[in-house]
Amino acid sequence: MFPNLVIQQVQNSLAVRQILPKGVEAMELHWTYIGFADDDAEMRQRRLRQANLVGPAGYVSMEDGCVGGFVQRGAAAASDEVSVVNMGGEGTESMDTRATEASVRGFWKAYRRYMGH
Amino acid sequence: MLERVVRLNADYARAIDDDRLEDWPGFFTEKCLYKITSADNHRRGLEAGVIYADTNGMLRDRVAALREANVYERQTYRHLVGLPALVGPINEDGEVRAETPFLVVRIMRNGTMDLFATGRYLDALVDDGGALRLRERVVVCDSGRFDTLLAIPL
Repeated sequence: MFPNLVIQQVQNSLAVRQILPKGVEAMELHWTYIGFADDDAEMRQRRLRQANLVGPAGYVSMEDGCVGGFVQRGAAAASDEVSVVNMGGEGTESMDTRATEASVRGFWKAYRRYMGH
Repeated sequence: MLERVVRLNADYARAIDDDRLEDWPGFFTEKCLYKITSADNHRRGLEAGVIYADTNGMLRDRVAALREANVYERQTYRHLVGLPALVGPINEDGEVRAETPFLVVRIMRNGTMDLFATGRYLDALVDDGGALRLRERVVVCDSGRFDTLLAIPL
């Protein structure tokens, strides 16, 4: 489950994403789309259409893949350097808004703990 | 008929490779299905696609997004499209089914060339006011893996 599982809900598009490390410079992201057995035809069509939002050709996730590639290449060229951009402090408390990095900070705090850093 | 399908495939590939994406929806009928999927998903009858469009408007929308909204590295394709096989009988309304293998090389702005996708087009074609158009094109990729992102249609 942790740290390589992501549960996705974007409107009616439901999916389980699994991160599969393939080495220092490569990973695979496995997507499993989900619907329900009692979805009617209309809901089924809605889910199929809204799946366009995410995935390798996803309207909202295409640029994430692109920018992740930029950062990976940039980081490799400056392996001795450190850079941090903080958004909204250092805590991990739940917030009223999603415009926060509390959850990803919580992720990395737990990751460091498990990895013994 | 075979010659018409070959010509359609040649025009289709040139439109994409020459970056005339605005012409791409014109190869489809108004009510249509364009889907990119994997051989494994296709075999198992799993419906979802990496790209899934069931109206011509969704195709035009995708082109508009690529031009105006999406962020992705500059890249081009080179399609090599094989010979179509006409499969199955012609329907009452003149629908023809064809299966055509393809190979797509992706060329990035820094010159990197990758064998990006291979697979087959599973098509349903109809005469649409004198022009042969795709009522359905299911792009069945041999591999279930895509390198980071699939921006330009296959």
